[in-house]
Amino acid sequence: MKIRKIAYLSTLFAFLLPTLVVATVVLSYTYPTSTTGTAPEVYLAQGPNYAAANAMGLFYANQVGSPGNISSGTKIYFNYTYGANNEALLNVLEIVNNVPSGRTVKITFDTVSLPTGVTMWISSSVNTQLSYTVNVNNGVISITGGTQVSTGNPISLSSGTYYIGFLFSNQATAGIGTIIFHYEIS
Amino acid sequence: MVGVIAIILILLVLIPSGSNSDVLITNKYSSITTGKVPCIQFDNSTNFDPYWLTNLNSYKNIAYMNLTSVWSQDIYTDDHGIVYWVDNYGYVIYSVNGNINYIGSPYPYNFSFAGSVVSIAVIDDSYVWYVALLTVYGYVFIYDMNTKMWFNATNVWGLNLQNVWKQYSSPWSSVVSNTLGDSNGFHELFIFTNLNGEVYAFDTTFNSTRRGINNGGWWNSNPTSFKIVSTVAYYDERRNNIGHLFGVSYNGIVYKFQNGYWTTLVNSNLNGIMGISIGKSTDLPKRSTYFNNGYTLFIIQIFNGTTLYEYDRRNAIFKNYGGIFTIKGTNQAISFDLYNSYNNVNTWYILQTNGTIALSINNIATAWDYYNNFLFKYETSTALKIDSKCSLDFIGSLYYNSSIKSWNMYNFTIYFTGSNNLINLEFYYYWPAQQIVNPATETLLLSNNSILINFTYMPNMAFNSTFNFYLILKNQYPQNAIVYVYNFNINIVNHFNYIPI
Repeated sequence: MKIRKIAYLSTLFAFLLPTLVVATVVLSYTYPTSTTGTAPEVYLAQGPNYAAANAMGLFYANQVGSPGNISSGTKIYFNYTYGANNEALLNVLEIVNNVPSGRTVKITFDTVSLPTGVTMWISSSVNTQLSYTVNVNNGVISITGGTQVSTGNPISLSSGTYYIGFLFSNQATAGIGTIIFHYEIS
Repeated sequence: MVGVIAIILILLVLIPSGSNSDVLITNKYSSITTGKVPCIQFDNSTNFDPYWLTNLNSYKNIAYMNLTSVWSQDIYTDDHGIVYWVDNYGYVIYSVNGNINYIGSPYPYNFSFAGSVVSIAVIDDSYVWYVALLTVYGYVFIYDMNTKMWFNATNVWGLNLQNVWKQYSSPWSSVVSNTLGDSNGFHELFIFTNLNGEVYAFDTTFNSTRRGINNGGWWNSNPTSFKIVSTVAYYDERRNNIGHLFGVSYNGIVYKFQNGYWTTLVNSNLNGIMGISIGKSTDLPKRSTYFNNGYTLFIIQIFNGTTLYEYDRRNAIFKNYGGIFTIKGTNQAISFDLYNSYNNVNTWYILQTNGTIALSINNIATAWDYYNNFLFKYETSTALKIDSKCSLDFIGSLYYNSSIKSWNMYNFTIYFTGSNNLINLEFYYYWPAQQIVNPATETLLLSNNSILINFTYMPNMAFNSTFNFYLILKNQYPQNAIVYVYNFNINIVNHFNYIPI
């Protein structure tokens, strides 16, 4: 009992009284640390249609590392086509979740700020690419197999790949934007 | 108590977000969006004025096409009771006692410089047997029934009607033939009239070196404000072989040409008049017909379900004559068979937009028979192209969106010819079955290549139809990568634009 009291007190002193110069007992420990980079378990990467969109000069997002991933801070460039009634670039990006099953991954888009007429979509099911239909009454493209990305609502990710695409309405305008997301693993 | 405080402090250090997560990572990306000129564009270099003209937006991915349809335009009965009719592309058909014969067109649809054919007339006598076509720009083409050859009368006869068009764009609207007598005998003339009432006559009795000057030449070269859409000539042998020329405007005013001037004969108080003819009245006393031999003026309206209207000179009115004849379509032109009328067989021929001919089968025009749809479905050459300068191959399909008054077309078809030369059906409309078929067949558009668009069409009514489509282009490989939606609107014109409908 006396020993436990001493331990509590020493801990309390370690946190609350680090500037005291008079001590009954002083213990010193040394722990070496090493910091290295590692491939993220959840990451943004170029999607299966990236090459096509890039070849058309419509999309660019630099990818680094192995496995290739798009680092935070990277600028993403995408072009819409002047005059088109509607335009879609589908499955040009993907979010890969390599976290082993049994753990929970939630992704939250904190900011999706894109120019007028531009929307971002993510597939609803893991490993399922986005597709589309066109409403012949108004020529508007609708994404199938995905949901429009909105801010604030956490999305639970299963292990696998989720695909991202962009829609441009006939009101699309040029401009800069920001996409911020964070994910939590528990 | 102290121990509890220590534990709380440790938790605050390890899990700043206060969640239950073990790991939290934030990513931030900036994006730059810019516009880009499309690498797939409509190409209207195949415009064929005045038959198809496509206007494009500045990026050439929205197309508005004006497509001039083919329609039956004019009908004429010659001095031997042979009936001829022509479509606006110049295709001539004639009927001898109900037997149909085909003459064809002077240049199979390839005379855009001359404009569409607006009128037909025939001189059939012992000297010549000419079928004359007048175009809206004032060019004249003649089919010589004896030699079975076409010739360009504008060149051969030295006509200059086209100069009027060039000067002030007055469309030519009507040609008729007539016989005039003078001390040298009888002369067969073609009489050409434009919308503004200028009249030129060519006397075929004299050869080309004389340029038909005996009774021909400009009868009136002073434009009027009258809008004459149809004329009729009549040879009155009872009155010193005097010729008569009448005209009618779309708003129903009938004019008489006399001493080089048009004068108003009567306002019919009927609108939408397309044709005028002279025929035998069977219900008016001769004192009420225009000519005292029982012949008088008849006019027709463009509308469906109408009767003939005959001129009652005594009361200065046009009144209903006979029974309803136009149950099948809008009316373009009328002709009366004077030749057989002298044997008291009175037959009116009314040509309708879709090539149907209503012909009266008794002398009083209360019963009608029909030749159905003697009009050819016209097939355009390439009327529009879709060009790709993209680095990838695409697939194009045309999706029907909406239409306005589609029933004015009898049929309408759109084909795409892909970069692999395969011809694909994209859209088909068929009025009799009220059928819209839109297979939107996928058509290949290779990089640096084209899709060709062509049409077939035949009108039903004289009014316009509009069809709106979306052209959907997607890259071929991989699928579901890039999708474009373009607008494509087609306005089909089924009448000359000087007809105010």
